[in-house]
Amino acid sequence: MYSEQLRRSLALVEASRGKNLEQQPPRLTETERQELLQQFHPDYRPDAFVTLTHGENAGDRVPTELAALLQGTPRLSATAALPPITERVDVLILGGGGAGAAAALEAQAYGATVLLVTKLRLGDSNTVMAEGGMQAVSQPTDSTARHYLDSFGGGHFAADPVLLGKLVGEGPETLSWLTSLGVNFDRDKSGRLLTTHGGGTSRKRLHAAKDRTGAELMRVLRDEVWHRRIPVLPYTAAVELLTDRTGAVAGAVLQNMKTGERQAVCAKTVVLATGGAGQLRCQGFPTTNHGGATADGLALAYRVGAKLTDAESLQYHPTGIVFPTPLLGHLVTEKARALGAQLIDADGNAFVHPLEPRDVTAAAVIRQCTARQNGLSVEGHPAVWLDTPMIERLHGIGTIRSRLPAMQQQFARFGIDIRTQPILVYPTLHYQNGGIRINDRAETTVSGLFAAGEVTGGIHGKNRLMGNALLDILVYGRTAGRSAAAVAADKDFAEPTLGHLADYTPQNSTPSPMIFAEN
Amino acid sequence: MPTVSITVNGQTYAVPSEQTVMQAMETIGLHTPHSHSCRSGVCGACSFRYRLNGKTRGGLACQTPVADGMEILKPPSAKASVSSTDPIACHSCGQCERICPQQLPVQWIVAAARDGALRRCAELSFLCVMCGLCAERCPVGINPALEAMRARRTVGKSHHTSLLADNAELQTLVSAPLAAVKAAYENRDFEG
Repeated sequence: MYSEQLRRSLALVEASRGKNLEQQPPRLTETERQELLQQFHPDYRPDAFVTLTHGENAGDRVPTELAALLQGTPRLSATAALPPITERVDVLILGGGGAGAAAALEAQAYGATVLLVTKLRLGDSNTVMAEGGMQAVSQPTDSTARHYLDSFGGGHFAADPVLLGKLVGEGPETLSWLTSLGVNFDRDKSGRLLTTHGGGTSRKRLHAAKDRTGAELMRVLRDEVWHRRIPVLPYTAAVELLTDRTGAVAGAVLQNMKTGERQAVCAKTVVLATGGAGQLRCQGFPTTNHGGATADGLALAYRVGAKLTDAESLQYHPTGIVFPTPLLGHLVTEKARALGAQLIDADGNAFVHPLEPRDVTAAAVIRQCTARQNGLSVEGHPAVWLDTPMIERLHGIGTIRSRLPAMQQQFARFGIDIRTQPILVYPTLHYQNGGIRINDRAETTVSGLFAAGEVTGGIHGKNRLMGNALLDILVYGRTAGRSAAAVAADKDFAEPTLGHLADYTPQNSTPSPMIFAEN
Repeated sequence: MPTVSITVNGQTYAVPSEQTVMQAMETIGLHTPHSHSCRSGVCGACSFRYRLNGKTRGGLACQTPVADGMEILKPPSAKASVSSTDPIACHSCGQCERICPQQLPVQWIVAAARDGALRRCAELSFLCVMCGLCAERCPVGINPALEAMRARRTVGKSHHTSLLADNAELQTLVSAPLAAVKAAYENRDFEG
């Protein structure tokens, strides 16, 4: 299965396991981290970015692939006739992941009529793919202030303090909301919540449902949406927002993914919960994201005049799968490192503390494979080892089966037993740290337009800690649902138009939004 | 490149042997974008049915390697059913279990739901991706995925307690000067 080079290296990893278990590399100082990031993190490569020339963020540096969409060619022209208006709802929610579902539940609970539109099925999203857990304060030794410090520092002090304060402050209540809906978090035999560390946390604060936390959370939210009979329009993409005469958002043009047919929905408020941008595959990196993560919300919002923040900041997860090849780029949860698995180079040496923040760890892996030439190569892809057998050496036989069952099953399908064999990993495009600027009511800078989840920016600064995304989609998804319902309650339907396109000049021919990744 | 033969819609194709069924469907041009989302074995959108060595099985196309002689009976497609017959109607034919792409003990899951053994049902069904293949096959209309969902939610709710945050210290930090916050960050102590 492995080449001669890999087999030789594997033997070194096994021989050094005892030594590596006894002594792990120290945590870096903040200065050392900055130095490592500037030299090796993909966000710091000047040739991969361009400066926007048009729109609210003109002058800002963003990834080349994102700029093409933000200044690309709309799928409708300003002079086109509006497709037939098929629905009128108080709150139109675009996106069927965790943030969209949370917004829908809350908006309906506040008395609004709701329509949730999703490109695939309800739940087909990055949310279901989240593995490791959700951060929230639940233990007496912890505090929301500590959660704030860990997250603010982990994001290099670039987060919006108010947005981050709201995120961590509402953590405990959000965890309670989930358990009240019936989400199963890992517990000990007496029913107490189990918590673990994530990269950059000073207290054990991650709550997981084995290694399928997002899937467990999403299937409960989806079940609740079904039970509350919230209308869902699946296989439907938003291709343009609609605006009224004042420029406020008044609905959206939707397109059936199968037939291409279009319809317009008139709405008093719109919640963008369209998720991330991994499928842009910036700088040629593979991605952990699902097929629909194509930055549609950013393009739609930017064209109606919404301001973006930190749009240049992407998260490369340090441990994407390199082998087996069909799983290239897919996520190996940080929980593996939280449970003690270390990153090991070709010579069998541990080279970074396993729980540095994600960007620092990713940069360390890239340095090992480039400047230090101590990485491996698998069918042309660079890689290092993640020594998963360490987990059972530290915590006992059976730990992987009980804490990482999905990961064990995923690799077993391709003949790899992660309990006895290390796996090959390399950084992969995981998360968009920045996005649409919002305030603590989840309002964007455009009237009538709300946003929640990965499509937003400002909450995580320049780097998001593990477990803060699941919290984010719930705290801000629910907030967006409430705020959008409240605003809609005091508003009448406006006449929806494509007026904003009249002032818009495409800067390139890229169709925008992308809608779906071509694999 | 070594290839294997697979049959789809009665037609035989040679596809690279190291591909997954999803990659093979893309190779031969039969793939539709709405039958995949996560490509990592968790969303359940790409479930498919196939016959190999005389046995009918279910799989997730993104996670199943192709095999020589594989006959795709139903290509990847998404489905979701939202109704279920009472599991008391189960007569243990075993169709659900044979088709499950996650190799879950579906008959035991249904039996546990029937008997009200909800904790067991929740534990056994944890890796369910709710793809719907079992429900589609059940001759009496039970939807094991929904029965399991109900059990998991009931178990989850049984542990519910309300947590309240004390945010006084947090509010001080949010409005504190950056230098003070940076110092506090550098001076954190770590739980072992």
